[in-house]
Amino acid sequence: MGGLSVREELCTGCRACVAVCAFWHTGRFGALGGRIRVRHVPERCESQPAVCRQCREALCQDACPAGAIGRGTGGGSPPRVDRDSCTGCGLCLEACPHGGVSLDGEGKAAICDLCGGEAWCARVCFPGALALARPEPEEDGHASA
Amino acid sequence: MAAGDGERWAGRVLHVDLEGGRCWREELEEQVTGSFLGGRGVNSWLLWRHSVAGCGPLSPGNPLILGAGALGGTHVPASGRVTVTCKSPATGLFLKSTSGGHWGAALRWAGFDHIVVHGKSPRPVYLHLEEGRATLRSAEHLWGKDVRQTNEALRQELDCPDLEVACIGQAGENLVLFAGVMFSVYNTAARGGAGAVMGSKRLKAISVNPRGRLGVASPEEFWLLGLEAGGGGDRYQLKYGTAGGIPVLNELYIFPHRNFRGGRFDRAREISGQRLAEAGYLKRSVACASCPNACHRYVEVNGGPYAGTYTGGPEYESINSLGAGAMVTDLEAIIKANELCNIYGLDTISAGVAAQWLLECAERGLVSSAQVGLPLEWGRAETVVELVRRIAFREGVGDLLAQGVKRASERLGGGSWRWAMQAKGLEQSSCETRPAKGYALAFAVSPRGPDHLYAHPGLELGITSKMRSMVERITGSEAYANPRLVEKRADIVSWHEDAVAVKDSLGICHFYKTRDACGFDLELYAGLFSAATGHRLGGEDLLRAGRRIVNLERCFNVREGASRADDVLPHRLMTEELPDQPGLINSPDELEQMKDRYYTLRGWDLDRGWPRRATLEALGLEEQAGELAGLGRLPE
Repeated sequence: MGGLSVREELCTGCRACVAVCAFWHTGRFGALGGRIRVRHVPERCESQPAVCRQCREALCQDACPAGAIGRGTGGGSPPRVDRDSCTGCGLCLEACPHGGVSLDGEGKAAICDLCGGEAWCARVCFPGALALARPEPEEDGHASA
Repeated sequence: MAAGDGERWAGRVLHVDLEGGRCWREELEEQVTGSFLGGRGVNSWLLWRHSVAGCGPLSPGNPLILGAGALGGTHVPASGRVTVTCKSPATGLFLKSTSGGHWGAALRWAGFDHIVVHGKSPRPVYLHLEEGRATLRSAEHLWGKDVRQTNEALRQELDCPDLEVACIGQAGENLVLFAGVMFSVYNTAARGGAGAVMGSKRLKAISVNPRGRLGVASPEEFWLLGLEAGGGGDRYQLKYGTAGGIPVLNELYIFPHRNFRGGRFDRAREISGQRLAEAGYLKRSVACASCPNACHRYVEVNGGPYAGTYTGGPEYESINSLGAGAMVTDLEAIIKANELCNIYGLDTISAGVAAQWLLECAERGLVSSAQVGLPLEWGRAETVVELVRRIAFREGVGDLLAQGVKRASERLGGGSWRWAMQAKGLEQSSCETRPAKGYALAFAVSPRGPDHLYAHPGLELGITSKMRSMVERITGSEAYANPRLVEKRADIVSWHEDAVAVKDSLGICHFYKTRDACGFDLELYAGLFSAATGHRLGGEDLLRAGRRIVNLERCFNVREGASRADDVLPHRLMTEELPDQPGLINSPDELEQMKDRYYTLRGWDLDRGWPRRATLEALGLEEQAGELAGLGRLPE
């Protein structure tokens, strides 16, 4: 699948992405449990979505001492957290330059999984700050599934 | 996505007693939330229950009530409105004042739907909410700070970058009768002086840590219906905001200026939402919770005398009242005046109308520039900016204006009441009612005073085929989609009042339109309310709840002694024709004719506009009927 593309300058700070993300993953709305955050400076009305960008060189994966973060195959595949191995140490949070990792209500790492391809955050993003990018071609020229 | 056991989805009330420094929870019965929905409706129910007739608006006995809508904090588009409810210090009558922003969503995530603030604290305090807990803390160090400083200080102090803050600025501390409660820094529950009530209680702020969770009764159903409510995003709003409407309204001769003595302003384009964007002041379009439209603005001024100014806004109303109303066309000065209103916590509408009234007093020789120490001339931008500052700090003439134009004109005399653009004590918002009879009726009968956010009967304009077909549904014929007609205005207005009460109670913004029914898709919202709360209602039930809420709010005013005679418009609109538009006036005869029909439809008596016993009992308002009967104010 393609990854999430983020155009921060288009974000209006409505946080509909936060609402659908938390609800899709946990069945509850709220700032706990979602995999996307909107960082903001309210006095300047600045808003920036902080979410996994599906980096090719995944610093979160490298930083994890427990080996709890794995990858799917192909470019644009989201990292996968093995919740049983995750110790909640938080090193992945510090390693991610996009603020794309958070700890869920149980203290385990939570990373965007593109809702299995639905990417609800992008679907509800009216200004277009979040979009599901087209699948990237693999080195052999084939798009990943 | 299973719902948890024992989880509450509505009616979670936090009571705060500022005298005793105590907080406690109350879970409202389903019968209450089923009847009054949430947000504004439940707030009004709480106001009736916790206030007594005749109490002073700035006395400890006037409760200050804040509530998020029943759909707040979810993915439902534009569901983040907050309602602040109390007795208004401007009118001495019922006040609901609403705001956008993100505080309402945070409140629900933190485990509460409503807050009732009782009493008055001996020292300045703020209330902090976090994961279902509430604590009162000293705000001695915050007292005297402006709204931006208060937000910054609380975020640091509580070490919470996502903190959501409701607070007052200096205007609220100084009991300016049109001080607002500020949310998410630049959003305001502006009208009617709720900020002064908060100031009288010495409550500086209510901060909320949004970390938390919010469930709904039927998750799958709610998810799907919420997505169905999407699709109403408006690119024009996103690009130009509410002030994008200025050029069109101006061409229709309904852009008030010079204290409502003009309908078409030659220089309107210079202060439009289009100009705000094209001239580079607009840096960002800003959204309230889960709203696609992002009609809120963020602007900066980088040169000239107001260099360094930055603020949320300006919206349509602020541009009109602080700009065109005073004949000011310097957009940078309007932005500055808006910034000061925001950081001191003032209603831009009333502040602007107060400035306009003073300028007209000077024009007519009742006050002089020398007396005031400011050039009191139309179009003097720096005068308006300075007046805003003086109002907030009650300095000199600002102390006179801080009481609102009704009281100020009583004090100044000289017949200045004739151009005080107020009714019931509230300054009229920047809507020209003379060419639109439904608006005139709606503004006259509004329990909070003449203003567009109680009914906003826009369908009467019949601009689109959807609007005309809605008018047909309400009145039986598309022919009544004509704002110049007096006939059927009462039908259109009362329907809007009920529907707006529903949207306020669900937390949905009036400016968001679902794909169907011009934003009044009641069946869809009934489905959402049912899925959210587990209390099953249909579209007609919702409308009936709206009617119940409007009647309850009318009862509050009747209990305070208000009657038909109070349902009027500002004197000028009833006695002067709209310039350049001969014959357009809100004549008292015409207004009384519409009021007769309105009270009849409502089931209120014609002499005093008081709800009849049968009307209240049919809506389940027996408690209110009983109390009004005891006061001898319940016609049979």
